Amino acid sequence: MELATENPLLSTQKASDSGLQAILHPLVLLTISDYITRHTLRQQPGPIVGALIGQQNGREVTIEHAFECATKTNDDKVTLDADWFGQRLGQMKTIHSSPQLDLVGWYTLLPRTGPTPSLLPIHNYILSEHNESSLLLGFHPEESVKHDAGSRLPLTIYESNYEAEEPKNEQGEDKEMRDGEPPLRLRFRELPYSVETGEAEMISMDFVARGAGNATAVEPREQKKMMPGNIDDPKGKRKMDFLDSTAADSDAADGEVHVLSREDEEMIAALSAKANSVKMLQSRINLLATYLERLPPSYLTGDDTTMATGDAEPTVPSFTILRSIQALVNRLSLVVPSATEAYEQEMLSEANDVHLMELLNDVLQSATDVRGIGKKYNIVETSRAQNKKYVDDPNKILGSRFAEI
Amino acid sequence: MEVAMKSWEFENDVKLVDPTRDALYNYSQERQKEANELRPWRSDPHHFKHVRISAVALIKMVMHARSGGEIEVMGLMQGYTDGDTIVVTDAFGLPVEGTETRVNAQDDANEYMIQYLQLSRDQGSREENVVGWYHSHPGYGCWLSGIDVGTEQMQQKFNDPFVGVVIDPDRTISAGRVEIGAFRTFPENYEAIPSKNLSGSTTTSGGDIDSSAMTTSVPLAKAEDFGAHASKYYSLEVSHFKSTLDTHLLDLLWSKYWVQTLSQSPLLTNRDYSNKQMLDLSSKVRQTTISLQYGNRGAGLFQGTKKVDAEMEKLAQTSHSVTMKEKQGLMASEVKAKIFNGLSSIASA
Repeated sequence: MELATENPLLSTQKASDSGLQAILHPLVLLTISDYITRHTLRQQPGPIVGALIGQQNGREVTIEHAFECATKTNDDKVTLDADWFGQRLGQMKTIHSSPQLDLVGWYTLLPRTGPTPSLLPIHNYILSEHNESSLLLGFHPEESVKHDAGSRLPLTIYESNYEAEEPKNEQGEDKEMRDGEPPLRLRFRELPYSVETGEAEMISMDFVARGAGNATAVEPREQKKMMPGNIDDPKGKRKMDFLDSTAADSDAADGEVHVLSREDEEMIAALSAKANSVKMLQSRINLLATYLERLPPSYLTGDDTTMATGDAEPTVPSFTILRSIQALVNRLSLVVPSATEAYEQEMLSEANDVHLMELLNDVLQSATDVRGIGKKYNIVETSRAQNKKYVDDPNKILGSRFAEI
Repeated sequence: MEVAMKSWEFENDVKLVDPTRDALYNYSQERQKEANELRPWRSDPHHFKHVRISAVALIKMVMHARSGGEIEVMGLMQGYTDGDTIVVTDAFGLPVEGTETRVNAQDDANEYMIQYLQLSRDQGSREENVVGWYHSHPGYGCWLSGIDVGTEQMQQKFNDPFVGVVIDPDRTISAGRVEIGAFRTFPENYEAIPSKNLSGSTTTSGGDIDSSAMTTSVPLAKAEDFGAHASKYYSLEVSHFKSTLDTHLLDLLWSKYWVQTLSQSPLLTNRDYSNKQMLDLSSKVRQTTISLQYGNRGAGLFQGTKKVDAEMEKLAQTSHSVTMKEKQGLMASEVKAKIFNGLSSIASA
């Protein structure tokens, strides 16, 4: 936090009090990542800048799509190409018309310390021309290479607003910038965000993440590509150690050698996804439990006297966390539907429906099997009848043998 | 200012990519031009065998298809070719909506497309040409209809290399996996040789319904359209790729969306679709029953029984998959009930 306060563009108020809540869709993240990868590999000039589109409902801003933007550089200032931007934005709005998406902000690469003065021209342009409550999404490249970053995504979303000047030690850099600016100064504040996915988005995300699909069929080609010193991404390999069942799944799709059918494999995949998320839930609960256990003993017993002599060893209690745990525990009873009876009825009928379907399926399977058996039986019966005929009439069989000779 | 500018540029320069592992993201216009000069797909109608779709393009397409609901939507894909593979790096939607099997690009869509591509090129980071189109078949599987075959044939004539991708958003949702197919048509005068068919699908004789590579079953209402054109195109192997950075981000994201895996209730959300599937299945069963009875009467027709057998087998398979999906849904709700329904007693205790 010390670093953040050094940044003159960051607001000194730590938490946002505007009540704005950003909801980020993962597609945006992947679009940014795609752009970065492309930009680097093709060695393209200019900074990475793109626009974010989404919806704003009251105090809630969703960020659903993103597209890269053309920039112009003059006099050390990077600005958006206004013509280009207007046209592309119009196109994006045309295609995302239900529900109507609009520009909600823009993204670029930022250090963890926050926005730098060089991005102000773009931000001011968007504020004045398109959306006066525009957000800024800073992607932190240095953090995403670190693999110990934990579960935090390497990005920060900022909102900006004009704040009154504070009597503070000015740095030379700031004075320069203040030249053309109103006495109120633009400040960025971190905005809380959550990640949300639509159903289709989640499935395709999952599909991409797991690398399921027909990867095995491409394998021979990939090997072939490797041999002449050519390069290819190792998705196929990565997939293998990720989830063995999916690998088997794609195998099963193109050959009947496997005992398990595609449906069975799908079932296994669905169940293992479930198992993984249950494990995740458990680990989260364990984390909470450990946190509570490690609180100073006084908190656990409710004894006030030891308060002052709290040891350094136990975790320092945070009242916000404790309060939210309390709220969570209180809410637990709400998870269960109030009309338990009706709910169970519903569950039962649902289960019965599915079981009925299974039975019908069994009937159909059996019918198919019976048909197969009938055909086989028919074949056996025919040949037996023929044999019998030979036995009944040995002359004939001799005759046929003679005929063979 | 100077310093800040420098540092911003420096930030933009951070090595996040592994050039060898993310090679598919690279693109060289000259190389592409050179490769396209050769036009190997002219001599061999089966030249392209694989389609590789980037994570972003795939998600964009699925979301676009899903947003159309019951209406067919379409869009274009940007990318390049590499040997026998078509690499799709990005996709964008077009403002056209088709009904049923009649997706056709219109004039305003053309204008949109040209403007979009021009803007992409001006922007500088996306120089790829269009390598294909995609559209959705909500609820009836991935294959090309007569009109689709016409569109694809025309594009292949004038805009080759060009691939047609079909996405079924409804089946994607119900199966929990992306239903996608990529197709190229044969030239008009080309006779499809079934044994050479890459997809391993059994091309049929006599125009009866063919089970395609994806083992998707076509609803009865569409079966005629499907059967009539099934021999005019072949399907390509579809796979997808993602960058190292994508992989890392996806790992991080799993910790965000595991809740949804646990909280979804597929039985409810897919009720419409599965009902439709069951209805279709039942009418197919009825049809098979009738033809079975016919077969019994005219006992001499061996070909007839063979056809009925094949149909029976397919019915059994379809019912199996429908049932399994229902079962998955039931499991999901049971897991949820087991975990969360006991909470009230614990909380009150």
